[in-house]
Parts: sequence; C-alpha cells; structure tokens
Amino acid sequence: MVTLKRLGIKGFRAYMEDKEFVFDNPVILLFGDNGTGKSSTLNAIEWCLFGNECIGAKSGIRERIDWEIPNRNLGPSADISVELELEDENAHAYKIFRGWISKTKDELKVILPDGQSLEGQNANEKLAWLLKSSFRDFLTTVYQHQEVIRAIVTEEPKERNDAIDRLLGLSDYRNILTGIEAAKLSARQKGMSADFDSFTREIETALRTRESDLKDERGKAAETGLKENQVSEKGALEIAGGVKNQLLIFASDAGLYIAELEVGEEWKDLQEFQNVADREIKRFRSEMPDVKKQQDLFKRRGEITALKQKYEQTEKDWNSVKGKFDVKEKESAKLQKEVRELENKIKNKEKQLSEANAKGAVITKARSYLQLEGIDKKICPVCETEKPDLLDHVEREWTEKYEKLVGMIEDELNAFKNRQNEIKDWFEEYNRIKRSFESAYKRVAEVRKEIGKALNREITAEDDPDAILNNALKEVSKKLEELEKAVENKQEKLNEIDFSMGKMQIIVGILSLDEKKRIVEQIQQSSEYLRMEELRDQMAILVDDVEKIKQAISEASHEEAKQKVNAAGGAIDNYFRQIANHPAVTKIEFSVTVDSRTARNFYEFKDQNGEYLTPILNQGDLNALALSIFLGMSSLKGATQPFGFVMMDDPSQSAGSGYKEKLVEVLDEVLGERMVILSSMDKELQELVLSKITKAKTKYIFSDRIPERGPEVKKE
Amino acid sequence: MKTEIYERLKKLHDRYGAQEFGKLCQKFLAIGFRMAGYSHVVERGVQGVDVDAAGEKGDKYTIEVKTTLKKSVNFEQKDVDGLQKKKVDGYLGVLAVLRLDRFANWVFAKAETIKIGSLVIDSLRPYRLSELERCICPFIDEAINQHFDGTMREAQRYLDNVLRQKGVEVRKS
Repeated sequence: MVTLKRLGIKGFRAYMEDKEFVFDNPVILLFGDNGTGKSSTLNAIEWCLFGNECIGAKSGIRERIDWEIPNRNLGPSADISVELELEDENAHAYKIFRGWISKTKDELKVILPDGQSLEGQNANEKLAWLLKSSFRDFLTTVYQHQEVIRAIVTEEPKERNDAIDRLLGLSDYRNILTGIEAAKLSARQKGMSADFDSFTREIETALRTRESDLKDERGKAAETGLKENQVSEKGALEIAGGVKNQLLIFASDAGLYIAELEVGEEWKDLQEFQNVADREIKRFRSEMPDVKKQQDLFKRRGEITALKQKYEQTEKDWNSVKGKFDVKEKESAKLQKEVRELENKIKNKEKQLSEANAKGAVITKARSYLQLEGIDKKICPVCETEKPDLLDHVEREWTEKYEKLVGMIEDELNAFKNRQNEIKDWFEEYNRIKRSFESAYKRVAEVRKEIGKALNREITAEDDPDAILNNALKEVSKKLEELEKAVENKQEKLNEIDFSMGKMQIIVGILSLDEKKRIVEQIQQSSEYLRMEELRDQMAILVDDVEKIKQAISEASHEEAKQKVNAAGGAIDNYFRQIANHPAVTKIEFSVTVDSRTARNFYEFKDQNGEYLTPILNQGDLNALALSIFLGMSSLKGATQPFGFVMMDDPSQSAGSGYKEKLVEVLDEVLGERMVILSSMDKELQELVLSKITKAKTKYIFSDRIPERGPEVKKE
Repeated sequence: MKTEIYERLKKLHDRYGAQEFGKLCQKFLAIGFRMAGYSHVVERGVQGVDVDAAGEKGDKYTIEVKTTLKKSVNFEQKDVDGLQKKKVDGYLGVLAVLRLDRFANWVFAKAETIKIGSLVIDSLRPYRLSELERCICPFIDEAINQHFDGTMREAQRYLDNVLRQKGVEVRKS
C-alpha cells in the first residue's frame, strides 16, 4: 500500500507561496473555516497523482468543469507545481513532481528510490504502476467527495444507482453504456434504412414514370403502323436510310441541291440526321421549281388582274367625261355664233348710247348753264333769241326724250352683256370638261400602253384591252391549274417522307426513354448503390456488435459490482450500523441486480427482514450509508485498494452530534488500517477527533486566506 | 435485383401464386449453386431443409429458403431443427431470403445466430454471407433468364428436369 509522507505546494489553486505538509502521524487534521484552503490541500494531492484526469468534465465531478489550477493572483510566468513523497509497503520512497504548463498540459517527474529521475511517458507509466489504480478508484476509495456522497442520498433510483456505481468505481462502465445509448446507433440505422427506402421509392417512381411514358410512346408507334420489330435501333436506322434515299431522289427529280445527310451508326446519331432532314424538307417545300413557277404565275395573275381593274376604271372614267364633253361640244358652235352677234349688238348699242350721251351732255351743260345765277333763262345761249320757258323746255326734253332713250339703250346693253357673261361662264365649264376629257383620254392611252407592255404586244386603237386581258388571265389560270397537280404530287411525296421521319422520331423517343429507364435501373448495379448496401450491412454489423459490447459491459459491470458488494458488504453493514445506529436496522443486506430495461446495475438495500431500507432512511441515515459504502470500499485490500490513506473532506456536513460521535469511532477503527487525512470546519467534529481518536495526530490549522499570500497554515 | 429478373420473377409469382413461387425460387437457387460449381446439391421438394450444397473445397451449406412480398419472413423452430440436423455433418445453416421487390436481392444469412420469430429482412444484415451471395446470385439470375419461358409453361416439372439434367439430386419425399 502506498502511503503519503510529505506534500509541497506552489501556486496551486488557493496557494501563492510555497507550503509544505508533513504526514508524520496516522491522523492528519486540516482544521479551519470555510474558504481557508483545506480543500485545495486535498486537491493538490489528487492533482499531483492524476494530473488532468481530475479536472474538467471528464473528472465526473460537476463542480470541476471550470476548475483553474494556477492561483489567479500569480503572473503568467509563475511556477505552479505540487510535489508528493510517497512510500510503498517496502518503505521505498518515491518523489512525484507535477508542474502545470497549460490547461491541457503538465509535466510529470518521478524520482525513484535510487534517485533515478523519470519524465514524460516513463514517469506516467511508473506512477501508474505505483498507484495500481485509476482516478475513478481513487475518488471512490480514497478521496471521499461530497458530490458523490450527496448523490447517494437522492431518492431517484437512477441517480442513486449512478452514485453507487461511482462509489464502487464502476462509472466507466456506466459512462460507456451512456455513450452507447447517446450514440443512438439503432435510431441512426433506422434513419439510414428510411433514407434508403425513400431513395428506392424515388427510383421506383422514376421507373414507373418512364414505363408509363414508354407505354404511351409504344401505343403511338402502333398507331402509326410500326411493327414491334421495327421499334429498335435497327428499325430506326433503316427508316432513316429510307428517308435519306427518298430525299436524294426527290432532290434529283426536282433539280434541287441537297445538304449532306448522315444517318450515323446508332440511334443517338439520328437526332442530328432528323434536324438536317427536317430543314431540307422545309426548304424543298418552298424551293422546288414547280412551286417557284406557281408563285410566279400567282404573281402574274395578280398583275394582270390589277391591270384589268385599272383599265376598267380608267375606261369608265373616260367614258363618263366623254358624255359630258360631247353634249357641250355640240352646243359650243351655236354659242360661238351668238357671241359674235352679241358683240355686234353691244357695239351698236354702245354707239347709240355714245350718241345719246353726246346729245345728253349738251343738254346737261345747257341745263347747267341755264340754272346758273344771273342768266336769262328765256334767252337761248346759241341763238340768243328769246325763247320763253327755255329751261323748262330743256328739262322736259331731257326727261321725256333723252333720259328714257338712254335708259332703254342701257338696259338693252346690259342684257347683251349679261348674256355675254353667261356664255363666257359656259365656255369656262366647257373648257374644264374638255381638259378632263383630254386627261382621261390620255390616261386610257397610258393604261393601254401599260397593258401592251405587260402583255408584251402592241395595243392598237382597234384592240379591246379588256378582252385581251381576259384572255391572258385565262391562260395564266390554266397554267396554274396544271401546276397545282404537280405541286400537290410533290408535296405529297414530302409528306410521306415526313411521315417516315415521324415514325423514326417515335422510335428514337422510345429508345431514348428506354435508355433513361435503363440508366435508372442500373442505379441498382452501380458501385455507389452497392457501396451503400455494403454500408448498410456494415452499419447493421456495427449496431449488432455494439449491442453485444453493451451486453458485455453490462455483464462486466454487474460482475464487478457483485464482487465489490460481496467483498465490502460486511464492512458497509458494520460501518452503517455503527454510524447510523438506526433502531430498526440490525443488518444491512447490500445487493446488486441488473435492470433488465437499461442493462445497468440496480442496487438494493434491505434490512434484516429482507425489507427495502431506503424508504425508511432519513437524510442523515442516507449520508451514513454513503459514508459506510466509501469506508467499506476503502477497507478493501490488495489490488482493489492500493492506497494506505483516505482523505475526507468535511464528512460531517449537516450531521447531528450522535452521527459525528459514531463517525469518529469508525474512523478510529479505520485508522487501524490506514492513515486518515481529515479536513473539517466543524468544531464539534474537531473536538471529537482530538479527544476520541486514539492514534497520534498532526494538526494543521488553517486560520486565514489572504489572496496575495494564500492560506495561513500552522502546524500544531 | 436487375429489373429484367424482377419482372420475370413477378410474372412467375403472378402466374403461380406465392406458395408455388417459393418452390420455384428454391429450385432456381439449387440450380444457381450447381452452376456456381457446387459438386453435390440436393433439392427437397417436400420436407426437410430446402437445399443442401457442398463444394469441392469442403464448404457445405444447408439452406432454408423463404420468399415473400413483405419486409419480413417467419423463421420457425422447425426450420432451426432442420438446419441443426445437418450441422453434425459439417453443414453451415443458411437462411436464404428473397423479397420480391425491385430493389431487393437474395439475402443469405448465417442461421445459427438468428432468433426464431418474425424477422425483418433488414435485421439479417449483420449475419449476411456476402461472399456467398456474390458467388451464387449471378448464377441464380442466369438460371432465371435461361429457364424463364419453360418455367412459365410447366413450372416445377420443368425445373425438376433442369435440376436433374444438371446433376442436382431432387428429393420428393
């Protein structure tokens, strides 16, 4: 068994300055208030022996998840280390030194009894050899930890079983079982199968769609008269060959150029062939000579029809103007004669008027003269003889003879002039009609000339352009009729070729669908699919193997639990009865079975009558039970328990006086076998330990802890 | 399985029904073993384990054949007993399952580790004899392709003749 001799601490957790503890007696007491560094002292021993295993989540202790090794008040370059001196059963001394490097790294040195110093892997191996125990074992058999003790008092069977597993050092088994369950391999396997099934369903759907499309296409093929044996690559190529020949003959017959047509050697080449052939067929339809001729004749017929319509309209216009003109022409000679007569009449009348006017002018002047003042109106100014009432006479003459005559002449003259104006207007109208007539005539002549040019012949005045145009139209229509049949025949030939192409296209479609179907079918034979199948097998094997491993671990855990329960059962019973001193319990039967549902250990405590114990135990009893299990485990000898000391951190928490007294009695018993390092802030327990423990004691008093200096510790 | 094989098997199933189909598959499997070079093949039409196959290298299989349209098959005590009887002669008990599905294949599984009851075919994966499957299945496919027309016409009678011609021992009782 390994025992402790000395502990040196530097910069570890609560410690700043170097501190040394000597374990020179069977009882080492660390007394002091809460927060004075007692736990750091125990932790230092633990860390020196197990390094990073006792830190963080992997320690299995929740409060250590964020644990810090270096004291926070030290600088980054400070030395942090713990040194332990151990002694084996042959009194050989070993020095263990562990220095902190980083959160994940430390350095270990082991100095052997002969002074040889080991480092690195060698040091680790030597230490493992010396301790012959895991950190988990240390926790459950040497370092009584409150968290483990606390968990056992819970009433939840799962939590309690878990805690007892930990106390018995079986957590690793339990953790592996938990890990296996957390991996949910079986669910993953099911998920994988579901994914695979979904994938195969998709393939199946794709295949069904292809099959349905294929059925439709085959139906179409049958409708077009394709026989089953034609629906093949060979069939498609043969049709393509036939199409090519037909097109060549057609082009040759029609005198048309034809592009290079390559049938190819497999059905996939036919798409290109089809594109070229389609293009050529379209071109043939529009470019074959008969169609060209037909187009020319349609054009010719259009031109002649347009000329005919033009001629008819022009002729109609001319005839209309000519009628009007002829009427006017007849009238114009007569009117010209009348014009001449009117001119004479007007001339005569103007002469008469002039004469009358001359006479009238004299009379007017005579009147003016006679009307002058101072003139003797009875004396004639010419003959200067007296003429009684001369002025009256002149005025009467003027009124009765000249004024009336002039009026008459002027009326007649006006009538002549009016007529003359009418005739002038008539002639203006006549001239307008004449111009229209001449223009219409000119247009007719031009259209006739145009017709002559269009028909390539002279149109004389004796010719009837309308009749000539009608004849020309008849001739064109006849030619068109003749061409129509030829064009229809040729188009029919092209239609037949097109139909063959359609058949070929259906076959190509079927072949293409067939290929797509085959591709989907081949997924099953693909290396990826086969690999997936293989992976499913491997997954199934893995799940099966893991299930077997789980079973084996469960069995091993149960077997080990059973051995430990059997080995420590008597001691646990003894310690529990001593500490708890329960009046109704004279014996504890501690047993373990396997929970068939979870395959985990299920611990049972029964009393002397075989009744379940836990329902009647109070919290203090459960504490006593937990401590009894710890002490019972500590009492195991040999390979199960290689440590010659136990460490107890505040074992009297929330315990009554009777419990403490019994605890001290039990510790005194334990001391027969092992050194006890006891940390306590409980004054009552301290007093009891000092007064009742019969073995020699070394007492360290933790009085204070100053952040800049660390714990204040005095040895007594 | 290849689509053409699936389609052929489906036609056989549709024509003859599940029970007869199972017998036909058993015979195709026996032919497959024979074609794969197994020197001594026994096919039992009526009772006992369905097929025994022994190779020249000393590999011996005694095979219980199950066919289904579902995802599971029944593996019964009588099947285990039948397979067990041959174990003393050095035969390895094999459960050969074929699900008639486009995406299924023959599954040959080591029978000794399989528990009796209704078995999900997928649960046989850990016990698959993949090598044996790879060796035999292509020949079963070949046998189906070769003898499909005859089987469609005459069913077991035709296949029994094929089995005899190929040197397979056909036991009727």
